[in-house]
Formats: sequence, C-alpha cells, structure tokens
Amino acid sequence: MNIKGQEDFWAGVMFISFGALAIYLSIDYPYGTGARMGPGYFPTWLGIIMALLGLGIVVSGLRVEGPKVHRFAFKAILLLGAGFIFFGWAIDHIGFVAATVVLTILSAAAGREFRYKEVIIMAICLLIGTWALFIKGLELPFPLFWWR
Amino acid sequence: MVMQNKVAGAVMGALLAAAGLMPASAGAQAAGAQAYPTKPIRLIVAFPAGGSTDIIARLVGQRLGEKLGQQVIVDNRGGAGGTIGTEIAAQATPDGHTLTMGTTSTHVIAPAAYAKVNYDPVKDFEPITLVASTPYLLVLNPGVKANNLKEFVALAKSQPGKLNFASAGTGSTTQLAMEMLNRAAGMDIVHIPYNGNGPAGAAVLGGQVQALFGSMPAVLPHAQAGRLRAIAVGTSKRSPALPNVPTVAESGYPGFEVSLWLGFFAPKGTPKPVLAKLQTELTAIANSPDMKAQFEKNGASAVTNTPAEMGQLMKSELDKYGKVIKAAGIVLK
Amino acid sequence: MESFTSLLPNLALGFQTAVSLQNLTYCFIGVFVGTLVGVLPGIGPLAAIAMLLPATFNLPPVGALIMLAGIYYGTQYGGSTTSILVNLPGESASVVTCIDGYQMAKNGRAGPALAIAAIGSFFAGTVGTILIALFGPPLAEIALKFGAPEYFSLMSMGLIASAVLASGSMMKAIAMIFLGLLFGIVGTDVNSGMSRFTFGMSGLADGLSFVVVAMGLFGFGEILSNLEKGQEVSSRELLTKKIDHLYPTWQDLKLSIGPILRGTSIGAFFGTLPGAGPTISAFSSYALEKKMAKHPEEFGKGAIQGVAGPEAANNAAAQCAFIPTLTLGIPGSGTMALILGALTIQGIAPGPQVMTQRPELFWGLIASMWIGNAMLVILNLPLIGLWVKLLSVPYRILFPSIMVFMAIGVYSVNNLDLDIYMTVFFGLMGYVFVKLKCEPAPLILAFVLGPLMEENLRRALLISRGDPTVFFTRPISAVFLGLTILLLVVMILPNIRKKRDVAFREPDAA
Repeated sequence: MNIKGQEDFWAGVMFISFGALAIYLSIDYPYGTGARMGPGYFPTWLGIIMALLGLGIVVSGLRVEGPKVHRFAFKAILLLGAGFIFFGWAIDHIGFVAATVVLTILSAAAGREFRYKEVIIMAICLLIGTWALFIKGLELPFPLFWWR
Repeated sequence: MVMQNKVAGAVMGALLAAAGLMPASAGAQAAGAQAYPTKPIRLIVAFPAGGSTDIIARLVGQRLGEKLGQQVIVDNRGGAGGTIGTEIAAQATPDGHTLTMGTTSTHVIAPAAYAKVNYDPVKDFEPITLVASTPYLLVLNPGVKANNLKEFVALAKSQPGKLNFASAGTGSTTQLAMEMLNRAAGMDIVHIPYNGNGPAGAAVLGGQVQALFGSMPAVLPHAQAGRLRAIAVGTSKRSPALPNVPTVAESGYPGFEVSLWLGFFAPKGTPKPVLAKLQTELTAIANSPDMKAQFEKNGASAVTNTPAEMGQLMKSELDKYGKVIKAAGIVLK
Repeated sequence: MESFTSLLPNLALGFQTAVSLQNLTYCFIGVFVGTLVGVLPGIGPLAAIAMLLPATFNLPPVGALIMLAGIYYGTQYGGSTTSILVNLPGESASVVTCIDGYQMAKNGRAGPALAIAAIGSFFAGTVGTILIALFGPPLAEIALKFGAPEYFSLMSMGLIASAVLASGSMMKAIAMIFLGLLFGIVGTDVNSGMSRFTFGMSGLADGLSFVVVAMGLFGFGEILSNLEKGQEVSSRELLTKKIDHLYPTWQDLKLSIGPILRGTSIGAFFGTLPGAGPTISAFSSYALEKKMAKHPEEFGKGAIQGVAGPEAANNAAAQCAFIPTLTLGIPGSGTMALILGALTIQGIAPGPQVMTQRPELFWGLIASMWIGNAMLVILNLPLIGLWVKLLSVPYRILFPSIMVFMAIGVYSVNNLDLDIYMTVFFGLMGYVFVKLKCEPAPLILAFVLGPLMEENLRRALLISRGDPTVFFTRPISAVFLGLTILLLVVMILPNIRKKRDVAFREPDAA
C-alpha cells in the first residue's frame, strides 16, 4: 500500500479513531428519540460522521500526492511534557518554587542550546518574577514549599 | 559550582523556614485555641466566584479575618455541583486553618442525588454554625394568567404537561423546590434545566418558560421591578423584602419549606477549642447589624445556630430532599 | 427609554462624574490591571475581578463599578498582545487574533498588528459606548426574545462560518469542527445531568477548560513545532525576521477601515446576547472579512484584516455585554455575574430602575468606559515598542518563560493538576495537528459553540414538545437558519468545482 499523501492518510486515521472512540463511549448513554434526545444521541452521530469524514480523508491520502510527514521532535515532547507534568504534580506537593525551577530547566533542556549559567540565571529570574507577579501581586494561593 | 551553591542555599532556606514555622504550630497544638490562628485561613468555596455562596463567603470571611487577626483567603474550587470543593475540604488537615462554606447543595442534596460522592457530609465534617439562609421565590412571567398560587395551580392542573418551569440545573434546589410543589399540588409542569440562576432567570423574563422557583438574590430585583410576578415564597415565614407575598405554606400547603442554608464547616478532627472560638466569632459576625443589613440587601437573612442543631438540620433535610429526588428520578453521575 | 433629548444632559452628568480625580484613578487602575491580566495567559478577567472584589466593598459604588468594568474590557486589549506575539490566546476571543496576528509577527510586522488591534479596539469601544447610551434598553429587550431555537440557529450559522476560517483542505476543516464538537461534549450534560466522556474524573465534570485546550493547542503545540524546526535553524533566526516599521502603513489603515466597521457591528450585536459574547463575534468577523477580501488567500498568512475585524468585534462585544447586565440585571457570563454581585453588595439592584434611580451610576459608568478605552489606547500604543523588543529575546530564553507562564496560567484557573496534564495532552494534539496540517481554529470554535448548540437544540425540542418546525416558525430563528443554509451552499458550490480541477494535483497548499 503506497501512501501517497501521508499527511492526509494519518489525519484520516486519527479522525476515524476519535470517531470510533466517541461511538464506543456513547453506547453507555441513553439514546432517547429524535424529539426527546438523550445524552447519547448527539455524540453518537458526531462520532459516526467524523469516522466517515476520516475515511474520506484516508482515501484522499491514498490517492493524492502530498508532502511526507517528517520526524517528530521526541526529545522536545519528552522534556516539555515531563516538565509540565512535574509542575502539575509538584505545585501541590513540593511547592511552587520547585515546580517552577524544574519546569524552567527541563524546558530549556529541550532547546538546541543549553548553557548552564544562563539557564540557572533564567530560572532564578523567572522564579522571582513570577513570585512577585502572581503570588504577591495577584495573591494566587500557591504553596511555596512542601510544608504549609 | 553554581549548581552546588544554589542547592546549598535552598537547603539553608528550607531549614530556616521550617525552624521558623515549627514553634508556632507546636504552640498551637499545646496551647489550643489561644494561639489559633497562626497563619492565613483557607476558606474553600465549592462554587465559582460571583455566585451568592461566594459573595456571602467573602463578606463573612473578610470580617472573620479582621476579628482573628489572620487573613481569610477564599479558595474557589467550583465544579460538579459543589462536590469537588467539598471533597477537597473533607481531606484537608484538621488544624482549623482550612474551613469550608457548606450549603444545602453540598451537604444534603449532592450526597442524595449523586450516585457517588467522595465524602460523607456528617462523618467527614465538623459543623460550626450557619451564617445565612436564602429563600426561594416562585415567580411567573407576567404574561401568565395567574395572580396567586391558587390560580396558578388551577391553571397548571387545567393544562397538564403544557407549562414549563426553568431551573438552575438538574438536581439544583430550584428544581427540587418546584418538584416538591408539583407533587404537593398535583401539578404536572415540565422541567427545563438551564445552566445556573442567571440563564434560568433570563428564560422566565423572556417568556421562554412560565415559572421559576428561583433563588431570592437572583430574582428579587426583577420581582421588585415588576418584570416578574412573585406569587409565593418558599420559607415558612414571609420575607421582609416582599411582605405582600404569601408563603407557600399559607397558600394551602402547610409545612412546605425550601431554603438554602449556608454554614461554616471544618474537617473532622479539628480541635474543639478552635471550633468553639470560630463558633463564637461567626455567630457574632452574622448577627451584627451591618452584616444583617448586607445579607438582606442580597435577599438573604442571617441565621446562626449550634453544631448540634446543624447536625439535626442536615438529617431532617436529607430525608426531605431525598424523597423528592427519588420521586423525580434524579440521578447524577 | 432615554430619548435623544435627554441624552446630552445625561452624558454631561456622566462625564462630570467620571472625570473626578477619584473616578479617573479607579478607571486607570482598572484598565491597567485588566491589560496586565489580559496579557498573562490563562488568568482571565474573572480571576482578576474575583481577587479585587473585596477591595471594592470599601469603595463608593460608582468607583467600584468603574474599576471592575475597566478590568473587564481592559483584558480584551491585553489578550491581543500575547496572541500576536507568541500565539498564546490570553482570552477566548483572542484565539482569532492568533491566526493572522501571529503570522504577522513572524513576518516582522508585530508592530502594525498590535497597533491596528489597539486602534480597532478603541473605535469599537467608542461605538459600543454610544450604543449603550442610546439603545441600551431596547437592545436588551430584543436580546430577551432570543430563546433556545434562536440560539441554536445562531450557533449553527457560526459553526458553518468557522469552516470558512480554514485555509486548507475543506474536508479536514470540517473534520476538525466535528472533533471540536466532540471535545465540547466532555462534561455534564445540562439537559439530563449526566456526565459524558469524563472517564470518571471529577475534574472533567464541568467540561474541558477553554484555557487548557487553547494553551495546549496553540501555545504548547506551537512551541513543540518551533523546537522541531529549531533543530536545523539557529534559534536566533527563528522568530525575528527583519522588523518592519513599528506602526501601520497607510495601506494597512486603508485595509482596516472596513473590517473595523463591520467587526464593531458584529460585536455589538453578539455582545448584547447573553451567553454569546466576544468569542463568536471575533470568529464571525474573521469569516466575514475573509469572504469579503480581494485576496482571501492571504488570510492565515498575516492579513491585517484578520486582526482588525476580530479585534474590533471582540471589544465591541465586551462593551455591549454590559447592556443586559446593567439594564436588565441579567449577566451574560460568569464575569458579568461577578460584577453584578459586586453591585448587589453595594446595594444597587441592576435593572431598568438603575437608569432612573441612580443616573450618575449608569451614565458615569458609560462616560468612564469611553475614558477607559482612551486610556487603554494611550497605554498600549507606546508599549508596542517594548513588546516588539521582547520578541528579539533569543528563543531559547523566551520559550521556557512561556512554558512557566502557561503552567501558572492554566493551574490558576481551577488549582487542579488534572488541568496541567490535559494541557500536555492538547499540546501533543496541537503538535500532531501542525504536522498533519489540520487547523486548530475551526476545532476551537466548534468546541466553544458545540455545547451551546446541542443544549439549545434539545431545549428547543423539549419546550416545543418534539416539534421541529419551531426553528422555522419563529422569525429570528428562521432568519439565522436561512443564513446558515445559504452559507453552506456558498461554501460547497465552489468546492465541488475545485475538486474536479484539482483531482490529481496537491490537495492543499497551506
């Protein structure tokens, strides 16, 4: 199977998957009737139509030439994702300070260049800046450290 | 090397801060209520900012902070009918520095209506005192041909299944109040849920629905302006804001009582001296003349009681609303 | 209704009230905080107003109202700044500004983009103020006539219009709309009380937060995409092409006049409707401008009309959102409900009596709205130079800062760690969308409109007891449905012809 248009092909696959997922989840919800629609009516139809659209896009991807999909930036995904997730966990468990600093460092690590001194200074500046702006200025209730 | 210095600095800071905090909290445990509060108090409000619960919480919280000498910070954790915030409050450290504003919705209705709720309103909380109660007002669109409750009931009975009423959402007190009336009077008015008191009010103002058993703060201005016709109030006594509007009980349904109460709760295990101190302060605040006036401007009234009375109230209301919820087939997941 | 004869003395009273030193100060504080909050991603006017609410208890009612209002429409100004500079919508309505505004910034034209956004917003704000003054109450009455069928037809029209937003493959755009609709389903269904697509997580019970989706798709996804490119291109070259003039050219201004006028009208109309608001105004304006432009293919690549129109629209909508709140006491959104709450605490019951009982409050507010808009333009225009300088910061320093601001912004909405994790998910999706050339704008619009559409469809059928003709028998609804069908036809026809031509060529050039 020669995939002529990779972008369309994979986009179509994605849409079909979401559509199928929607239909699967909606089976649990009462369907109702056309006049008195239940919570399952709308999502079921959305899923069906989307799966069909996805199919059409897949077909287009198989038949029409398109640009190739290049490599994914896995390193960036991993580092940024990890940093963000860490922030989400850390801010309530070990505090704003740790969360912000680690996020800064991990994010910076995803860039092409990583200069230690620069990153440390940036982390400190960001920490002080955001602390002043959000915690002191806007009085957001974020715990700074892990004790309360 | 920069890294090492930074780490060392952080550790030093941590030690110093921990040392600074420790005597204070140890003191609080030892001396009981005398040293309380030692840091800002977190008041969890399980509803979005701007709603009537939030406004009352902020009003009272500000005054409480002044009296106790520590800031009271309102933490809005809205969502899922008030269950998210209440769950967080139930799991908080019971040292008196986390409190929550509980209401009929969070501590009576949600446990009864939701299939699964991650807290027990009685076992996980220490009630402190009520501070306010807001009545519900039955209002009609002026185009509806009924001037009082009797006429309205007659109208509804003559057209079963034809009239509509708005509510602030499935499982909300606005729906339950109307369902109770439906059953008591033998009416069949169809429930049209909306997303909150604002849209529900707009719906009855615009004539999309005929009736709304609305929260007083939300509908009072419209009733006073004549844009909505108030035909009955749901409390057992008439409201001072609308002395000419009879209660539902007076209009032929004795014993009918629906209102939303708001009170302060602390997580289970909070030390008794702390609870007592809070009870004294909050009762004083709620009963102060200017706070009473503030509440009344919003259509609410100041109410205070004791923890024991709160427990009783929750029990009896759980029974009352539980019946309606079952009868109306309301199950929230 | 206040007639024209009493307009001048009323305005005089209003300006008298508004230019007192006290009220001017409150106005300034309000718009300043508003701009700041608008610039910060995630933190919206709701949070800012909630935070400043206790402070207003001790202020005189007029001053409090002026300040809170300033925050509200000030955030619209600030929101466009981050949208243009770093593709992060500060406010839901600013998403549209991201589409062309960010492209303009990438082309070195951030200055003109920011300037036109400010100018357009100021014009819209002025017009909005006049509209409130002249037609406030009657406009509000019309808004009340909008029931479930009308809202449904309106939303349908908006959804079809959003397909116009896409510059690439039509089928993919429509698929994105459906995907957006599906994301909109997540949460509690109003009509039945049942939770859908929440996987048992209580944090999703009230739906996906707009901030989460927007930050993820636009901010996070864009950063990932930039970093991927950055593997080959030096980070210094990434964002700063040659910076052109700081201010718009005559050509820019000429091109923007029409969009600003049209955008203002659209915004004024939608703003008055409770619940519709700035977002749908901005999207509709974009769609309209694209259809009316001489060179529609420029849209999506940095067309100034794509910034001028939507910015005027969202500001007009923000001003006119006060109409139902002030004249009827019906808040159109959560933020308005807060402001209403603040008023109630002050002892003022909004409604038609406000204009007669407390005229200095009503007219003072109106006058200060105009003053506030003027302050905002004066504040924002000189700042453009500063913002553009910010862009020249090396990307390797800029993007971690964006990450931190995004994280704080997202977390500040609900203090839920789940929101952060969901943002990562949408970040990944956003990146995948960029790689697969699926445009996020139609998805976000569908995400915002979808739930409203379904809710009103079912509600309309519930009230009409299952009678579908109600959408056509009610005049306003019929008009919008007619427009929807017209739009559909207008869209599909050229596409059918195009498909025959491009059957064996590249599917899209975007």
